[in-house]
Formats: sequence, structure tokens, C-alpha cells
Amino acid sequence: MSIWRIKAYWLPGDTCPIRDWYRNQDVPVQAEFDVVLETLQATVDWSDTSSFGVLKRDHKGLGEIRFSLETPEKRRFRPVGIWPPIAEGEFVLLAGCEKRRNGVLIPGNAFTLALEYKRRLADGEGRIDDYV
Amino acid sequence: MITFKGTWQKLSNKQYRDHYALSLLKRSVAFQIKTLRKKHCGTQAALAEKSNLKQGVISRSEDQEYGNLTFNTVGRIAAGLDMAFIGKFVPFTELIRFSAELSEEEFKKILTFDEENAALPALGLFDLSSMEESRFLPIGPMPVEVKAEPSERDAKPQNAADAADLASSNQRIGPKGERRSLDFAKTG
Repeated sequence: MSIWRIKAYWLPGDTCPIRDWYRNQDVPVQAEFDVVLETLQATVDWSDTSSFGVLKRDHKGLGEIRFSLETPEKRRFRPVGIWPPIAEGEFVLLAGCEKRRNGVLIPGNAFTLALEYKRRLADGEGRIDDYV
Repeated sequence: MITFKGTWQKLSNKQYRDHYALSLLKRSVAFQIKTLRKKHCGTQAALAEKSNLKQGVISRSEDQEYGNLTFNTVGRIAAGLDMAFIGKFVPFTELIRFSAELSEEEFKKILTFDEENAALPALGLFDLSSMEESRFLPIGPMPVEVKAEPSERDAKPQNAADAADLASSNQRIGPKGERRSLDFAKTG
């Protein structure tokens, strides 16, 4: 009954940045991310949920999924994808990162890399596939 | 894309399934409250008034990251929406199905009591005038005894909280503590 389809960008050579980021996360982070995606897939209007935000200025063209986890200290995560969507009802995940208290991203170039992946996709490099 | 096989494989990790189930619980309840509030009440303030809660409590209840709602708060929000909320223990296969079927549109189909009351006769499910004095629930998939006659041990309060609960329960059941057994099969 999902309203949205979540996709992932694959670089040439079968590397999937968001999948690699996911696999490097702790199990509780993976579980939380999966549930956030499931609730977002069921949400009609992403502008009316705190689980998603549109990036601006230097990172225009991207949208970030927002979730946090008490582990026991609070950790915030910001996987990013293409926004606005390139196809109706499809969100393409590009990269993932953690946002530290001082606003520093881990990895620090996550958003820049995401924009680079978006550009490469527009240039016909790589592919998109269902995110599973 | 949620697949049964993929999710089931992840759930084979105990730590994963513990976090997954907890996260789905807190996020899906917040998701439902927000969806139902928007459909039936409009603003958080309107639902707050109907639920006899503060608007800030409604706001927190819709926050998928919050996760510290009490039964009492959820019950009052359900009352404000004029519908019921049930907590239910389920196997993980059912959890996956629930997750896969999560949808704003599905939750929007949940009726308030008045909507349901207006719809039931039209569906021919029962005729209120032919029913004995509220003894039987009108609909249900199979006979289920909702409240059995308690055994002597069950009826005996174990502590002060149990005693208060039992007294309250007897008040709810009916005059003179009469307990009703619910038998769908007898409803015709």
C-alpha cells in the first residue's frame, strides 16, 4: 500500500553508496532507518513530516531523511536523496551521513558527494534501482 | 521496497527485531494520530480540546521520535477521535504485514463511533431493536469470550491496586457486578 517507492543510486561498477553506508551502521540504526523509510513510503505529503527536509543553497536539489536514536546519547542521521523527485512518487537515495551536535557531517562531504552522484546520474552514469 | 523475505532475514537478528518492533510501535502510533487528527479534527488544538489534553501533548503524540506516550494519553486521544485504540501482541509475520500495509489512506478509513453507527444498519449487520439489552456484540469473525467468569483466584485482589481495579471493573460491567459473557454465535 506504499504511496512512495524508495530507490537507490548505483554507481558504474555496481557500487551502491546508500547500501554501503547502511551496512556500516550499527544494527539499531539500520532498524530505525528501515522503519523511517516505511513510514515515509506511507506518507502522502513529505512537506508535512519532521522525518524529511528539503536542503537549500549549496545543496539545493537534495532532500534529507531525518531520524535520531538514543544510544544512549542522541545521534542524528541524515540520508539524502534527489529532491524534487525525478519521477512522481519516487525518492532516489544517494548517500547517508550522521549529523553531529555541532552540525558536522560524518562523512563530511556526504552532501557534496550526493550532488555529484545526482549529476552523474543526469549524465547517464550509473543507474537507479529499488532500494531493498 | 519492503519484501517479506528481506525483512524476515533482517529480523533473524534479535537486536534488529527488538529495535525494529519498538521503532515501528512508536512511529506507527504517531503516524496514525496525525493522520486521524488531520481527517477528523483539523488542528491539533481541536483534537486537544476533544481529548481534554493540552495542544503540546497532541504535538508530542504526533512526533515519531518521541515514543514516551502513556496508555492514558493514547486512550484519551482515541476518545477525542471517538474511536478505540487496542494494543496487541503479535508474531513478527503480522508485524511485517502491518508495516507493509501502513498507509494514510487505510487509516483514514477508520470510522468514528457515529459514522459506524450510521453505517451498520445499512450494511444489514444487525438490527438493534431485536437485540437483547446489550448482551452481545453484534459483529465479529468468530465466537470469542471477552470476559470470562473469573476463578476464585482471579477474583481475589492480590494487592491494593488490583482491588481498586476489580472494583472499577465491576462498576463498568453492570449493576450488582453482573458479568456478561459475549457470544457472537447467539446474535444470529
